[in-house]
Amino acid sequence: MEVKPGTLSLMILTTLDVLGPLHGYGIARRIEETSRGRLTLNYGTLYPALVKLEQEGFISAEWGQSENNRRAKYYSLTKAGRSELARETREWHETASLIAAFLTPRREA
Amino acid sequence: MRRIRIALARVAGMYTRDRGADDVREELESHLEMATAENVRRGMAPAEARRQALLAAGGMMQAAEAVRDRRGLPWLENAAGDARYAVRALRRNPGFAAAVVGVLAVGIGANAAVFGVTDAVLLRPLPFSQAERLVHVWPERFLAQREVTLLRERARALEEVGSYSPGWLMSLTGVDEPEQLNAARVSGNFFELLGARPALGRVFGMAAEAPGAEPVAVLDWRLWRTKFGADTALVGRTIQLEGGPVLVVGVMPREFQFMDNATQLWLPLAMDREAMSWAGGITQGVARLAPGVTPATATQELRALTERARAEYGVGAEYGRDADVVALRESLLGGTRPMLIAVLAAVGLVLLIATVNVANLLLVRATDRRVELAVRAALGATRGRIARQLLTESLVLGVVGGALGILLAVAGLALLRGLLPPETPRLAEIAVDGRMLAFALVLTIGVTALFGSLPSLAAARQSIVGRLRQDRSVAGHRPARRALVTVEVALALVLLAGAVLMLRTVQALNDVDPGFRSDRVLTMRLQQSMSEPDAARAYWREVMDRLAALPGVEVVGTVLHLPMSGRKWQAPVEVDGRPLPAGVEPPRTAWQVVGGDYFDVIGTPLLRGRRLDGRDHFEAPRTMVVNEAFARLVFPGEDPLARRVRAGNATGTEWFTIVGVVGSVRHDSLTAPPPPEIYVSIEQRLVGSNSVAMRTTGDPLTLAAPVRDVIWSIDADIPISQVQSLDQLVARSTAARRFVLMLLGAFALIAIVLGVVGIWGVVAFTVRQRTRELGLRMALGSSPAAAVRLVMTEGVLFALVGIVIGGLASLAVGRVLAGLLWGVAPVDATTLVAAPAALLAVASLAAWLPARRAARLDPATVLRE
Repeated sequence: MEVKPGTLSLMILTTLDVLGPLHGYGIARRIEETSRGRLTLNYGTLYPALVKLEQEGFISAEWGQSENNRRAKYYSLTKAGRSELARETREWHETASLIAAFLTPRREA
Repeated sequence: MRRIRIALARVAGMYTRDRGADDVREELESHLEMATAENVRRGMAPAEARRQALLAAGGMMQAAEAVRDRRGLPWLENAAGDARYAVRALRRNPGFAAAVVGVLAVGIGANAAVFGVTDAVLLRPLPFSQAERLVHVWPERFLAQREVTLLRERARALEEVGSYSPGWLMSLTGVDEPEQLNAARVSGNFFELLGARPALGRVFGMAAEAPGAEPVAVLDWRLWRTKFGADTALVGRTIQLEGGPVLVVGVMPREFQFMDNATQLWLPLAMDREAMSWAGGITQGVARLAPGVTPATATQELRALTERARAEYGVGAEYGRDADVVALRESLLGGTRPMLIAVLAAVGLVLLIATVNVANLLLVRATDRRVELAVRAALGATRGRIARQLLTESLVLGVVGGALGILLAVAGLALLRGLLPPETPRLAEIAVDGRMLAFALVLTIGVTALFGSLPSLAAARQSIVGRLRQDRSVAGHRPARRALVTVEVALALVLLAGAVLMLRTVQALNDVDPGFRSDRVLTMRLQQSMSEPDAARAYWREVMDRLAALPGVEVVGTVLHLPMSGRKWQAPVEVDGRPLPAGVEPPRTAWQVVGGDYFDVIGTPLLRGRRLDGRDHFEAPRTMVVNEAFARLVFPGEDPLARRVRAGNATGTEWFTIVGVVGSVRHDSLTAPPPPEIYVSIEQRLVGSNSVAMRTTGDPLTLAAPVRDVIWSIDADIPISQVQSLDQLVARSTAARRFVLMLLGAFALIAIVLGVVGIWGVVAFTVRQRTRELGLRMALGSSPAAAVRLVMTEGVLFALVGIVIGGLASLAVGRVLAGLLWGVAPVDATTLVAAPAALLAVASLAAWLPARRAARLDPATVLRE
């Protein structure tokens, strides 16, 4: 299953919020695991999204050492990213409950 | 805010792209390694682990590309790439690039230059405050102080009335080289009326008009620079004018000129307030309309006022019937409009032809590049992408052509300024400015869009396969190119027809018999004070006697107004013994004052009776000579000799007897029929200002200095002005037409050259494309001549269609030029035959030259290829 447009940035932000600074591979793994294998992320989807979030100032990037001593680029949430996450989460809940209300079968009186 | 931040980040990303690329590759590589390690941990063999990781991650290259696009601004980078590619492609084909850029530069440059002139002269508001309310009062007439005062006091339609009296010649002394300056005397409110501010110092006001006020002067920018070295300290100092000190109070800005281009300084006009003369006016009336008043309303009021003045002051019954108020803009620019509009229309056609020509060149090129474009398409370039590439190429050409065009326009503007008739109003305002440059820019963009879109559209329409097959029988863009040749020829014909019409006009003007001979005549205007009539008469006699004795002078005379001088005084005619019935308007005549052998100087023949001579002195019976036009008007079928005539200010209340009839002279212009004129002797009707005219044995202008010396040796205080030959005076009256002829001729030539290039190109192309077919025909027995005919048809046929269309269009040319044509009908048979015939001959030649190649083809060689 492909990632729905607009949802990826929310997933990335949540991942970084929960796990702290993380490299691209780690983010991809986490998203795939959380979706229980329903989502697959390839490079072409993930990395442009990371660049975009960086340009928007929601995440920052820094080269560092990985757990098994590899050089990797670590992304972490910025202050603006945190408030963006809160905003997007709220919006998502609202949209979801709205859509759910439409989709729930209800008998008309 | 967020958008701006992203945009900035992306622009910055373009610069750091190379570094960023390594960065991305490293990041992706580390991702891959981590995924591989994970797979190994799960028990895969290392090679298999990496393969699986790659599969899961997707294409590395595409990802890097996607990140790169996200980082920078891909469309801008593409455009930059296109531009680089375009420049490279054009440099491979410098002949083509030079042709396109050259044609564009000429088209844009010529148009921007002509626009610069038209804008400065016709379009921009006059450089005075609230210029739309300024009017010329009674432009046909020089007003007397009495009339100006009357208008100031009574005309409610006119908020303020001022006077402007040009052409006062004054000696400037106390400088290295004493000089005669051309001054305008103006009322004290003149500058305020116009809202004109000085560049330096101040202007003068009403106080300067008062009797006994200190004499002051405001200088023209050019005079200040050339004569006084742009010395700012000059303001506040005095200069010597006519031997007396005059305080310089200010300098006007460079672009300030009013009504003429000759005025070098402005002085207060202290008119003789007691002068009651209603005819001896010396000043032009200029006024500001009251708010909301139109010139038409002001005209009505002016006529009502002059009607009252007739009764109050007992002036003649004809006084003021022709009085009118004309918008200053109209009065100043009305005469120049037809000339500039004709030139503007012509230069617009040149631009159209240039655009068509460039489009044609681009089509040829697109045809030559079919294979290249097809390969690009086959490799995955979309049609839009190829169209964009072609458009970028056009844009590069347009930008270079436009830039060169602007340089040409700057040079062309200077050239035009020199070529324009010297009387062209607002000449001083013509300068390179932002409006002209903006116009050139808009032209560049418009023209580029026009010619640039054509090849892109054509390229986008073709199929890859057809193009790759390189099928020579499928000629590239042939219909489009044929149509373009037709358009070019049609436009060139329109220009050529215009040029021929102007040529016939100027020829007709040269053939006009003006009623006088203008060659070898030197003229100049003298102003004499007239305060003692006896002395004044003696003065004019002495001037003529002394000049007649000067070596190189054949014969001398004086006249009130020279032909073509633009000046003419008129009066109503009364004939003794022929009272006019009540309510009938008397006929009007121009009147002249002549002295010496004026008729011999200008070569006007005596038809009947005798000339005025020594017999017609001050105390002798009053006499006059009339011209043929007058005799026909006033005495049709009768003998005018010995009849007695009165004519307003020419004669006063005395009856003058007609003693002779002379030939008529075209006084107003070469194009206007000769007006009726009467001539009285300077002995019997003294005037202060006269032109001296003398027939010389050689070049008249070489005598100017000795003549001036003679005149000043009689009286050094006499101002001399308008030193010129009669030929120059006549030439000035045709200057506007010759200017239009010159430009139309030049533009027509450019158009024809471009048209020839177009036809040549089409035929040469046809020969190339149909080589095999021609070879086959010749192998089957067709003659070389037939082959030439076949390909020539390609050029001539479509030129012929253009000639028919252009011929029809040129029927309308006469209407655009209507105000300028003379002696030739707007729809002129000769023009309609000669211009197309000439163009057809040129077109045939242009087709024949490349077509000859077809005759030289060797069928054997061609077919073997």
